[in-house]
Amino acid sequence: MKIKDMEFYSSLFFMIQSCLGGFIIDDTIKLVKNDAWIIPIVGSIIGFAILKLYLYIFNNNVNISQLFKTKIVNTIYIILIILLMDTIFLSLISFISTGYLYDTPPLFIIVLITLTILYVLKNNTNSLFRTALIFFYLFLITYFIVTIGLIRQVNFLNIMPIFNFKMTNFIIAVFHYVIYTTIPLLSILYYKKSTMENISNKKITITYFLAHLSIFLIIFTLILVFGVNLASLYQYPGYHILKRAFAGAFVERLEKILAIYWIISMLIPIMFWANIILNKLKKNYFIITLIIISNYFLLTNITLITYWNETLFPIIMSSFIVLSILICIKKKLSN
Amino acid sequence: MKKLLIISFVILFTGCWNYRELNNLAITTAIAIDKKEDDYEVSILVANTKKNNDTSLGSSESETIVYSGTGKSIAEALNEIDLLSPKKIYIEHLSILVISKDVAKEGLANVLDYFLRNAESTKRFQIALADNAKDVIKVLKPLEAYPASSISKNFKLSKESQAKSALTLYSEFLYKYMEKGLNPVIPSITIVGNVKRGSQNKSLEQTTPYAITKLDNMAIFKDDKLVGLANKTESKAINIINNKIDQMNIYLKCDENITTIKIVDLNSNIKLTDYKKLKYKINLKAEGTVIEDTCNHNLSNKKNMVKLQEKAELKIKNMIKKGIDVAKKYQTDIYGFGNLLYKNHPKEFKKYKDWDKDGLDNVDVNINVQVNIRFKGSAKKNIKEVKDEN
Repeated sequence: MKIKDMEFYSSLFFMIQSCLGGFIIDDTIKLVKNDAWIIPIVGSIIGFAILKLYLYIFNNNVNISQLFKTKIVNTIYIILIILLMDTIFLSLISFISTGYLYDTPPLFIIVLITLTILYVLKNNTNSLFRTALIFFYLFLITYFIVTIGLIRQVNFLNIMPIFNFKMTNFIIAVFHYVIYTTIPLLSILYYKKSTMENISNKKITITYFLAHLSIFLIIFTLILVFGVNLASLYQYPGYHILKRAFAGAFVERLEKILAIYWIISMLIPIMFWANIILNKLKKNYFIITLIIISNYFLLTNITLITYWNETLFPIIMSSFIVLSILICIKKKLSN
Repeated sequence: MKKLLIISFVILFTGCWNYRELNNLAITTAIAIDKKEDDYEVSILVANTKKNNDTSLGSSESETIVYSGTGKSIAEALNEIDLLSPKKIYIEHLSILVISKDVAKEGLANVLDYFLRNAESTKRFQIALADNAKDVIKVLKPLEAYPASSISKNFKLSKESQAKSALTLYSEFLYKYMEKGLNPVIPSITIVGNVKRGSQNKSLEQTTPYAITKLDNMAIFKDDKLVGLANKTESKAINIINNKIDQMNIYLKCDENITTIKIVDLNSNIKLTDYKKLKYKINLKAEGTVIEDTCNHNLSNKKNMVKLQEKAELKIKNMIKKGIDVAKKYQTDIYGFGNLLYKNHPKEFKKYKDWDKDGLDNVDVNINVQVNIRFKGSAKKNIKEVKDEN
């Protein structure tokens, strides 16, 4: 049975937003302050060039392992996917720990999430994409409720002063944004176009820009409601802004329900990455479980995690782009 | 494997790991922070769930209980309370935080950090100042079961009826504290009567309670430190300029009598007209209704109505001038003149090392007030007027 087009586009949507809660918001506000809303606009245009690169690989049904005769490229690919998955997984656990289960031991939370991931992985790939579609509908509902709850609290003066940033910070912020939003897309390339029905480049492009539009709206609303100082004060400001969602008596104190979107946007990509690693490990569930649960030992070293998240992660992940360029060149040469 | 996973889900997803029974929670509706020598004294107002559950106890037990603890920090003081209270403190239903003047004079940034980091805290509770914060939450109030909800509702009502006091949320205080060229203000609460007798159930058995809390003037802060209290007129002006008032009354004197005008739909905004000369313009628009007229104005006469309007506009304008003067007096920009300059012309703002000291004094404000008195109430004329005519 083929993967349906809406299921694929929903997965793409979540892939682009996988780094939003834990990285994009904090990074852009820290670097360019009030002008953080400009970054998604510029980043989406630059990232489109990388999307084109991926679409070339996707449309040509490239099998990466057959393209390169050595195992090195495959190994690098898997290591990068594991690093990506672990980083987002740690961010998810940290978010759940901070917002919901602050008294629960992190190991227990890790076990809970791991079980959920394993259950979805037990089913075939189609169910993974179908899960993404269902959660996409849930995202639309929560987005609508949050918009109603926050629309009266915006203060347009909060985005001023405009264009008051250092150029180097702006460039770094755009670079980080492009990496965070385009690198996760590479995992979609693992799934062949021939296993999907009615996938078109035009609709992929529309999904791409819609995802960036929603990121832009989230960051823009955050700055308009909180102001840049308050937004930079909170850990996970995207969650804290939901505490402000208020509309009459029926939208109030719903932050724990509305924040389910943040959990979903990190969980769906983790499932996809785990699925890729599982298939590369020849369906060895034990090893994938070990890889995920071993993140517990990293949780104790906050300094390392902070250094990794803020400095190393975007640089090392940019090697994905280098890998993609190599794949394209190799494919063109072999043609 | 699938069966194993399903069984694990059934056991692990029941949500029982760190569940908390409602009966084991001390639901805190108000917190008061005072200074006791060098330590903080934190008092919490807890709902007496035992009284609410067991109706056989009658009216002898209080609806609320106040526990107090001291410590070098807020967290330490709250930990002390754990030694007194049989239930775990739960602050998600916190509706008001009362801070004493002594604590406010030292600075609130350290005090408020606990509530910022605490995951249970909603950050949407009100914040107020008092001479003795603990007394404010101890005093029992008629008409409401919990003192905290009484004060909270009083603040919400004040926005719709008078301008002297206006509620300030914790998140708003933080926002103003962190913005450049802007400083926060919070309302204050005073106690009228005997606090000791007022915190007993007997007080509620009287037609006039022994003590009652009253909303009072606005407290002015520079950064996070209290610098002074505005008087009644200045407090009104602060709330009008900060657009915190929906309605208020103004009283226009004429010889020995007064005409009262209810001002509604108040809308004020500040504009920067000349950033080099620091010229600002405050525009205020409002609608009015004559709710009391003992001055024998002939309100059917259009000229008299226009004169009344002009009087109202002049009164509000003078009020606003006093409000601006109080900000200059305490050298603290509570209206955001500096913030407006920073947002529109950041380079110009950066020329002032300390805006409150160097820039605020030079601010020149042009006040434009437009009051439109539309209605005269249910009566066309004054009672004496009609009597005289007859």
